[in-house]
Amino acid sequence: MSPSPSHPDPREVDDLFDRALDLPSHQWRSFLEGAAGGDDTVIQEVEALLRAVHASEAALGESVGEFAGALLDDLTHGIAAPEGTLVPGDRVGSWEIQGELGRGGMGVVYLARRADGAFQREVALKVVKRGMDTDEILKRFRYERRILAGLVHPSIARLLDGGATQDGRPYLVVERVEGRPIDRYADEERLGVDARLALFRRVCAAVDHAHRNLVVHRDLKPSNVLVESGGSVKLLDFGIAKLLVPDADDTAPSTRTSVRMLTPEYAAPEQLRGDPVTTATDVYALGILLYQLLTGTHPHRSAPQSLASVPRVGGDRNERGLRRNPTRPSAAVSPSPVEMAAARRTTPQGLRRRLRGDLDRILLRALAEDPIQRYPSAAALDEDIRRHLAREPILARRQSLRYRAGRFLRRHRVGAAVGAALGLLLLGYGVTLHLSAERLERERALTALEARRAEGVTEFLVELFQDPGLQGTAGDTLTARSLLDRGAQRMWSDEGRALDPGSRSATLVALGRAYRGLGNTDLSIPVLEEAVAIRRLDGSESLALADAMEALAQARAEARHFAAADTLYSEVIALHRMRTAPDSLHLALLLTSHGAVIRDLGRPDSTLALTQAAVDLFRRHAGEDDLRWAELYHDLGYAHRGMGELEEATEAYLRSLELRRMHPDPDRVRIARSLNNLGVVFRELGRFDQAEAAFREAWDMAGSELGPDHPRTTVKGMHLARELERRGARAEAEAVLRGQIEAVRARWGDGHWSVGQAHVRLGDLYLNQRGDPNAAVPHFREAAAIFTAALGLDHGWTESALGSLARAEEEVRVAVNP
Amino acid sequence: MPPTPDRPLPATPDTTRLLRAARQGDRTAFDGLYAHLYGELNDLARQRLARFRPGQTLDTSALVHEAYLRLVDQTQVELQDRDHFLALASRAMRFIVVDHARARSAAKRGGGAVPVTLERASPAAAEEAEDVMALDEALTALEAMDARLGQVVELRFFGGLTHDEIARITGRSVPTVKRDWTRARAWLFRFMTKEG
Repeated sequence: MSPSPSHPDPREVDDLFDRALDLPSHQWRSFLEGAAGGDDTVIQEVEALLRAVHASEAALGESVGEFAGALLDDLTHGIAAPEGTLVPGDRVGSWEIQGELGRGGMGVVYLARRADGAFQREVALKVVKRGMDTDEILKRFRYERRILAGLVHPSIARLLDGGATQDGRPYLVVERVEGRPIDRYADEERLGVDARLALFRRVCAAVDHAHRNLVVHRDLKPSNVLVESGGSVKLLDFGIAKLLVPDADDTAPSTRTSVRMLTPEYAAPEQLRGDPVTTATDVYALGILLYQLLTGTHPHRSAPQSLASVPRVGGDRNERGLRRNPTRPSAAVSPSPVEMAAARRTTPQGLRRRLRGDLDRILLRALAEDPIQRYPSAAALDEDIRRHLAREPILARRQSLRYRAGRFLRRHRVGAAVGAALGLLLLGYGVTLHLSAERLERERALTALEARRAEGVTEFLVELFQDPGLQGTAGDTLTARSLLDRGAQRMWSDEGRALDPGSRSATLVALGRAYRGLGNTDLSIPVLEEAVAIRRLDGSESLALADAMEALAQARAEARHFAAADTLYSEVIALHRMRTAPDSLHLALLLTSHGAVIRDLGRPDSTLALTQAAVDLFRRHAGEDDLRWAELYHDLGYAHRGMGELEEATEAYLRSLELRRMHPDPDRVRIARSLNNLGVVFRELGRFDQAEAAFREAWDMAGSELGPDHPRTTVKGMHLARELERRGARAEAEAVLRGQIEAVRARWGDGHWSVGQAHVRLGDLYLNQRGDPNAAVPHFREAAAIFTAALGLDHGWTESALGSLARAEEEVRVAVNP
Repeated sequence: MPPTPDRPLPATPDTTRLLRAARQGDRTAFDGLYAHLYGELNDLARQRLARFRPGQTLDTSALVHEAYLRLVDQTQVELQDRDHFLALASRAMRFIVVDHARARSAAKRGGGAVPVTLERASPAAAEEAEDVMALDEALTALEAMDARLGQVVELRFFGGLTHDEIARITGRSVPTVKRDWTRARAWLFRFMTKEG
């Protein structure tokens, strides 16, 4: 810019201005006249600036706050106070607004406190924004309230209250959580990899709890997973959650319209596509969360990006392509510098090493594009992390050649795979096959058919073992048992572990059922546990998982592990209910089995309710003469007895027995069981003759069907002996009991609880019937020792045996020193 | 859905990482960071309102410093990152205020739809909106003349930074900074009051 009279060069002006500033004001004029070379416009301009120094200080102040305070006030209100906004001091129900915490697409979140001071803690109060109160959103809001009300877990923000504001907008009052997002927390606390995994497992537990309540979170991300200063985890915002199994009268918001509510960075591919959302959707988000916790980067984008590139719903093809293949976590560490690793108390190299292998596989499994390929539940993901931390082999395996060969074998030799329950021909076959992809492809068509055939074989084998008629002699039992043992050994060997999860779990379930059929419940439990673990982690179809779990629940109940059985039955029933077309009859039987377990946990009223629900369910689907009614009546008898309704119990058992006896090929094992239970009811009714007759028939029948040493036989013998004692048939009672001890000891060894039971009965016989405490003491002592070892010191049977022992010893002492 | 009740500031994109990338000359990160801060400061201003009773004036200095403490992982950055952040935040603050003035002025003239309850706004605010727009024009002219003076206005006037902070950010001595601020302010006043 060239100087001119009207437009002086600002640089020149500024330079003179700068120099004049150092001078007192009375020298300005003379300085400028000398320095500006007589250019009046320049002199005037500089003088104007010099005067402006003071004027500008007064006019502008030091900051925009001084300059435009009212505008800034208006600015903050402008942002915070659209119509309908609540301001501090406003009342909503019994809550007083303290301020605003934040706002989202459809609602504002306020800080609030109880107006009456009854509750000191600050809470978060969510209200639908005016203008956003469309039917859709109101529905969603009410819905969130229902979901939260049903979710009580230490790691899920609690719903405290809810209602409608004066102008009719719904609000929710939720526990206020003061915490940091999990990723920030982990970095700021400089948690190592193990500590991060432990923290993450708590998130999994909370998500799993929600899943068990059939709630999917759908929007899991760091800002929704806070960690409080004490280190406890809190999940927030079940806002777009959706119940998996809506009630019949349910008006759940449709999922389609909620697509836009999701957070694209954490959305699973099926969410972006608008496909159905399942628990696997949360597993995906958990995968992203864990990925970020471990590597500090997002799996689909390891470089930081600007806001503009956040993927949108229905993003372009490139975006989807990126999503398909997340970077292996151990490889994602490379662009991340030393500080990132230092926040994890390691070096980049160390972190890469730490992530390689297990954690790579766990994350890639959680982040699989196809929901079917992911962990089926948060619990399954959690379990694999637990295994990793415990240095146990994880279940997310790579599809190695061996694995694929195993899969091929399963397709072709499924019959053999099931036969493996006996001889494990499969493993003798070797797994070194190498097959071309085309060939594998061609075989696929045959798979479905063969799988069905295999199921038939499995059923046959299981029935073979469960059928008491085939277990007539000790020799046969031994043969079957040794075959099972051999099968189990192979399953635990390296060979067995190398099998593909499908074959291995199918074989384990078959083994578990067979063990149970033989009465070896204790041996069936670990086998079934493993099968359940595999199916949980393998992403097996929910029905297959439910099947294995049901077998385990039965075994647990039989082993008197009622709490464990209760949990299992709850989950099995939930899995069945999740099916679109549940097998109602099966569900009814599950309800009654669950009811029986609950009765043993001391909740007989729940048992009766469950059983009656089952009967109602059954009535709608089964004909009068359906043999399965027999099982239900039996369960109903059990439930009534638990409530002390003995007449009703008697009637139910008699109806069950009648149905079974009418059958051309009656199930004598179950008849014996019902007779035994009926005997107990008769005894409680004081009808001792009928009780003895029922026990005797039950004992004889069970003895011939299952063998005299089978636990289900000895239980009946025990009851019979007690009735014999009662009416003074001591010799016969003693003979029954001694026979029991012999038989049971021969088969199960000295430590089995049935041996203990027989000892108790014998002790009772000597002490109470014969008045011979000296003879009773060793039996009680033996029983107490057996129960202590087998069931634990605090088990009721142990306590009872110890009490009897003390009583007998006291009588001995009194007899010696009267 | 409503955001996290207690910390509505989104965790992504990670301010700390953007900041460091921006210092290393990543232009995308720089743009991203600026856009990010613009949003964060808006959020923060709203939150401060929640804590203050109505009638208290927004303190941009506190806002900018609080933003730094809340958005940046202190263990992950160097001192110069902090300077960089404060400078960017000051700039974001400038545009937040100016954009609001513009929107406010447009609303008053019946133009765009602005989510402001006009009955709540004071007449003073309306005048100040015009003043702020004039000041921004003056600042733009000052920047064209001397970018260094323009920066001082942003840091001091909009960011509310201390002379010490500005000295460190600009690499000049504290007396020079004070003097630059005096000059810059005089220039602004001059531009704003000059006829024509």
